[in-house]
Amino acid sequence: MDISEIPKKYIEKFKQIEGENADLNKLKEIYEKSLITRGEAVGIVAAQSIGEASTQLTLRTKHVAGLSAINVTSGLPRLVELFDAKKNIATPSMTIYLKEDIAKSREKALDFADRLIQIKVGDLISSYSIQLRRKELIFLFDREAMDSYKITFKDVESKLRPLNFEMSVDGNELHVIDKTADSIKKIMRTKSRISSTLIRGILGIERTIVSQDKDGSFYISTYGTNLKEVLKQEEVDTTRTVSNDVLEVASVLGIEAARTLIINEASQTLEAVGLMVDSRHLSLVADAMCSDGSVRGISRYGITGEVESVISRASFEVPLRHLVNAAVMHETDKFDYVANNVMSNQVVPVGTGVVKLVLRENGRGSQKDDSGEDKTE
Amino acid sequence: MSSVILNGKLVGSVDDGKATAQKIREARRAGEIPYETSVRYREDMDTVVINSDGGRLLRALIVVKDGKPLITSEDIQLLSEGRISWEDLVKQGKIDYLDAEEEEDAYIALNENELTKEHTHLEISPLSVLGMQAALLPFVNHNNGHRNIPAVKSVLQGVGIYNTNYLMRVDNDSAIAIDQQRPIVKTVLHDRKSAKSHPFGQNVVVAVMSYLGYNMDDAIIVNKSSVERGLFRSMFFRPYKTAELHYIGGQTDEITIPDKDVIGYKSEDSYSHLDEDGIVSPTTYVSGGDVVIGKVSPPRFVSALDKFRLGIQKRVESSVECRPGEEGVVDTVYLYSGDDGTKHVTVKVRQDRPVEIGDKFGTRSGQKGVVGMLFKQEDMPFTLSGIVPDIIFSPYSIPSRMTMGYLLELIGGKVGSLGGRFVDGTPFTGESEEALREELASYGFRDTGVETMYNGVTGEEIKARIFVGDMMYIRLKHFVSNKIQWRAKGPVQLLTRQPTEGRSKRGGLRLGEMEKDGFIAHGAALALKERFDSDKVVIPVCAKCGSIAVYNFKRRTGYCPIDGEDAPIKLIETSASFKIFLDELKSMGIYPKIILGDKV
Repeated sequence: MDISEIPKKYIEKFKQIEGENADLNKLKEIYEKSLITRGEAVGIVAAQSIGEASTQLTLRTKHVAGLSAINVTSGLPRLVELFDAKKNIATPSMTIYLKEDIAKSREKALDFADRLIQIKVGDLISSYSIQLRRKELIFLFDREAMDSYKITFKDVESKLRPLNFEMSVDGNELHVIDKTADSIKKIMRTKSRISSTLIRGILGIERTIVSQDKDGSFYISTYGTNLKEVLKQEEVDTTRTVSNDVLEVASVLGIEAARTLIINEASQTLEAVGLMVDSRHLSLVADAMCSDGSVRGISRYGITGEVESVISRASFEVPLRHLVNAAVMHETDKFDYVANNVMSNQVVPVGTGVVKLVLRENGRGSQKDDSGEDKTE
Repeated sequence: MSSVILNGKLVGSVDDGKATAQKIREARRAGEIPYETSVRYREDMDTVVINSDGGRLLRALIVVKDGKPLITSEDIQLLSEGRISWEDLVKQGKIDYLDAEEEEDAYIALNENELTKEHTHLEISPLSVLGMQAALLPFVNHNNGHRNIPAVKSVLQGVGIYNTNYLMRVDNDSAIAIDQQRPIVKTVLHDRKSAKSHPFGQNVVVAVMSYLGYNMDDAIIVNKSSVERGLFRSMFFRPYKTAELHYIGGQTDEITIPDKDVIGYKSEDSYSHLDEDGIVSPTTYVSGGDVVIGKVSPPRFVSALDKFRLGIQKRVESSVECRPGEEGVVDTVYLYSGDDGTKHVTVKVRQDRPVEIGDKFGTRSGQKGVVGMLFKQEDMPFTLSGIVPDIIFSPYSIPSRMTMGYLLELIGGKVGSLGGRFVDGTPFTGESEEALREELASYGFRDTGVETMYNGVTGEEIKARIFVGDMMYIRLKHFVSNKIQWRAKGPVQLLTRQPTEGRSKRGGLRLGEMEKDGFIAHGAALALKERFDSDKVVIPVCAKCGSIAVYNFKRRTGYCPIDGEDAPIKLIETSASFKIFLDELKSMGIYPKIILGDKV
């Protein structure tokens, strides 16, 4: 190996410690020593390292009542959620960091946090009624709620205008006539369309909490995520703001961000209960999950379901489906995985099993000697 | 208006619920209604709850009126003289039986001196907060509460004399101790008749020390010479049962010495212990594999074709064998007939079970462990006065578990054996630590219970002072000889050719999925392959088409069902289960082909 193959960051760090004239051969030695050897079962070691630690996690999740903190899934359920790359996670949440001027002021931060919360028409209605003959929906608005959110009927009307209904305001009531409705079903659909119309805030953000970090600057935690919209806000520090939804981050920020998020979230979950797992294991898992540019979970729908070997896949889950599909597609199993070699009692291509004989002495080990006749002697 | 609920059903209402409840209570004490009736007035629901149905646990308490218990010293005097009985006191209304419901209404004092005017009842003895089993444990009130649960369980598992008519009984897994003692440190319950006739332990000399590392992690060292003198020796009974069953068609089993032409005939040797009637006689020594009861059955699963071919009906061997790995003396043979006149035979084999490494022992304070080593008396440590302990117990078992009852019993036992008396270790009311230590000092010993000891092997004085004393140890019913399991080679399953599972089938210990991962994580690929070689088979494969061929290993010829005689046939080493997997694929319409490559 040549010294030039060593990544630059290690050389820089080495020179920082040992001085500019340090002997790079020494670094080379260290570097070579710390490389994983060929045939090391890194995947299984990673699985065991995470698995052993997670046996100490309990299935139960702590739920803290009250409003003072955002209560995010933790422990084993969160780990499962992460590694399975679940589409709808149990507690989607964001940590929004703010730009310098807002971050220093509690009032500004609180004000911004309030503006983020989604308010839909449905949140302001206390009741509604339907006039079938006139195809009319009457919404009774809650004045108190409107006042507390500082929303006027004008705001509501302007938000509902794009829906193209005939509208009129009468005191606290909003009359909507849907001429196209020809059945109760349609009227009800109109009703739900209206009540789910966003008046203010960012869709998906249910609640926000402002907290202060060690440096004294304020940041916002949220229930519900909408990373794309939040990043559009001027007040937001786009370099640090994250969501805890891996798939959302992958689609908004890209696969590298998702990979980092998986590692961060997993190590935070483990560290929160005092478990130490080497980050190399976690980054291996994250790399495997993100290797093809999209986030795939470690499940039969993710990377495990896409293993090349038919038998290895079949030995994981739903064997029949894999076997039948393999037969239809005329698949070949090359027997270069672990599970299929264990099943057929062959040498596993891992560790001592990767070593192959290169030189044939006196022609021994040739194909002829492999015939049945020789074996039975 | 308060409603009245009788046995869970609303039956009516009364004006004053509290007064009604009191009235019923007084009627019960007067003997007008049965004493098992319980009443409670629930203020929160303004309801009188009366229960008189079965299945409620009741407990007896002394009735208190105006801060004075109704039972006087006069009553106790009469009771102890036998002039009145317990029933008389109940009839006089001096004793109440309360259930869980009525207990809510009662204010119960634990001791007489804490009685106030508000109290309604007085506990007969503070011991009654404990159950029957827990009250047998000495100084339980000094233990960590959690420790008393395993302590009770230990006592229940003790090998003692569980039934005085054990010779006439046939029980599965029954062990009987040969020599049992009453504990030196006892509780009041040990004076009851049943505790006297069903002892469960022995008083042994215990030294609390580490010795040569054989009592680590809750193990104990036992004096081998004591064992040879009969310490904790017990016998174990194994019954073997069978019956002459009648089958449809008039055929029956026959208990006899099987003929040589019987299907499944074992060696002549294994029938050698049988008498003419086909049953072993008492006092015969039998060991694993010997037939205990000879039996032949009519053929059941033989097909009609086989019957035709064989001509005469052969009978099938179905004898009862002595379990593999066990040996013993035939103790009793029982012959009896069932309801329908079938002949039943039970043979009880008695096994001697001296203490061996791996047997489990317990105490009455939840400190249990297995024997780690047996040392000859001369290798055991001894005290200045020449006392050699029977058991060496590890001091590391004490601090984390906080079983102070163990230490108190040890001192108590020492005092008792020196003074030639029993020591009262009853919880709450037993002898105090101070009194015991004072008495120990009066016998010329250190009041802390420690003594100077000498290493039995080297004769050197042990620098630390060792805590020695006497206490009761219990041999628990978990004998290693009933649990030990090992295998080099042995029976395999018919279908998969993998080793059988379970001790009784001489099975192997499974190297499971996670253990396999361990091998792989270490990179031990070849070692793993060897571990999984138990169902190794060699199958012939046609190198041309990849199908499994037919091969004659003797003549070294074979053919492929597709390519015929000339096909190149290679022998492949694989697991039998993989071959079954391939066969199952074929059975569901998937045709797996094996493509062969170079081995190197």
